[in-house]
Amino acid sequence: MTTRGRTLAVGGVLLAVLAAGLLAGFLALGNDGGSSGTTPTTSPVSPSETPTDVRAQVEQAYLEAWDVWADALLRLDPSRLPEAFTGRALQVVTDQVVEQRRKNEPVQIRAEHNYTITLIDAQAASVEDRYINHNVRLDPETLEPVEPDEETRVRRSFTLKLVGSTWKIAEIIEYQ
Amino acid sequence: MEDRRNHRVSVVLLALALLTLPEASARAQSHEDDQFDFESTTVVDTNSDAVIVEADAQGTIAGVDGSGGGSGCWLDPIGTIGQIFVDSFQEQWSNPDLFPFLLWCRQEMRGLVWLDMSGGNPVPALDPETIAMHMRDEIPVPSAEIGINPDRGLVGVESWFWIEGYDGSPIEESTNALGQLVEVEARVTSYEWSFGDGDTIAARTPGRAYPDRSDIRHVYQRSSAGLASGYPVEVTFAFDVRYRVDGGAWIELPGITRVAGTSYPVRESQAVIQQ
Repeated sequence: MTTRGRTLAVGGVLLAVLAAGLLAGFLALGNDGGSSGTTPTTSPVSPSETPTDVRAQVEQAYLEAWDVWADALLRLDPSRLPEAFTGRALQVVTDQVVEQRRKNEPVQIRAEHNYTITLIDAQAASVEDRYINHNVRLDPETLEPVEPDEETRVRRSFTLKLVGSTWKIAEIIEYQ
Repeated sequence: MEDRRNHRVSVVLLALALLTLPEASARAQSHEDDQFDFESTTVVDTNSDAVIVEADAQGTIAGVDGSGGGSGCWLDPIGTIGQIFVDSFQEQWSNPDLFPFLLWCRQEMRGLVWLDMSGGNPVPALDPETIAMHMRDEIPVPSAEIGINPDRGLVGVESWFWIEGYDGSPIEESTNALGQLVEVEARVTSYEWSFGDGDTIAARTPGRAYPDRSDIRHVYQRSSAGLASGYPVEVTFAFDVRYRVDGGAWIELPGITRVAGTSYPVRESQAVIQQ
């Protein structure tokens, strides 16, 4: 791309983003105004109300999916995964939990999230998360970590799809 | 915006490798020392000279002549911001090096991918013809079976053959790729029958189901004794394929073939003279 082309492109993007941002502001009244989220960690699932704002629904579903995944890997029980995952993502995470159960190796899931949410259409949304991975495998008896926390920085895109009235993770896109 | 699209993304996807989920699991097990993390359904490899997308290829038709064997995935550059709804200023949107793409596999949108274009365009252009070729390779031909009457053949007696499950209607597929509507159409042009005894015929119709007398007929001269399940009967569908972009003129693509087969036992009757 030429300098002029890049300048035009960036200018165009900024204008478009400004327009989209204003539109978003109108449509997302009541939102906190930001789509980036920094969430320190995951925690056990707790019942929560479903927000009316779509973006907030996606965000809640995304974080709850992490909690469901964490709970499954800690208890080595995949039975609740369909509540938060669907399609290929459900198959992958289920295989993962089953494999850990076969090895009798629970895992403690913890992440520092830094994500952005994009609504693709009425049925699909994307969460790009640049998180710090604090996951550690545990001793099955003591539930103490058996390895150090390597604090890996990870970038992944999660595609959530609306299944009935519930947003669920359907794809997990990894960058290498 | 148009300028942005033209300059920025002559984009997309180079390789469409297949990764089956078992392979993904095997890969995960080979890195047991890695920090535990989500397994992925799709890998976008941005370290190579060209961006490679590896995705499981559910729905890929196996054993199809003319299939490229690809996963049928591509990255569709998002040319206008209106295609997706961005909640507010995003880290990615404020970074002039990051550009968004929708990841498509076959007819399904898999998600949003952000590529760093600061080092130049990492991927070769994917034109509508390439998209159409992928669609051609994966085009969903209805499952077809061979019908035969009688169920068990008799030497010297005419057997009637026809195709069940597919009436020969054109098969159409379309997708919105690269901001354009790409339509692919496959029309069957001939049915090549092989009756398993060395005889073949070419037909232009799928035949007619019993009790009608089919125009696909064959008389076996010998029994299938010695063949475990009978004669291997096959019919090869030859398709002409074409595509068009945004309702424009149709452009021919290389044809494809599909094969259906069955086994057909044929016996020889013995005349018995009673006094």
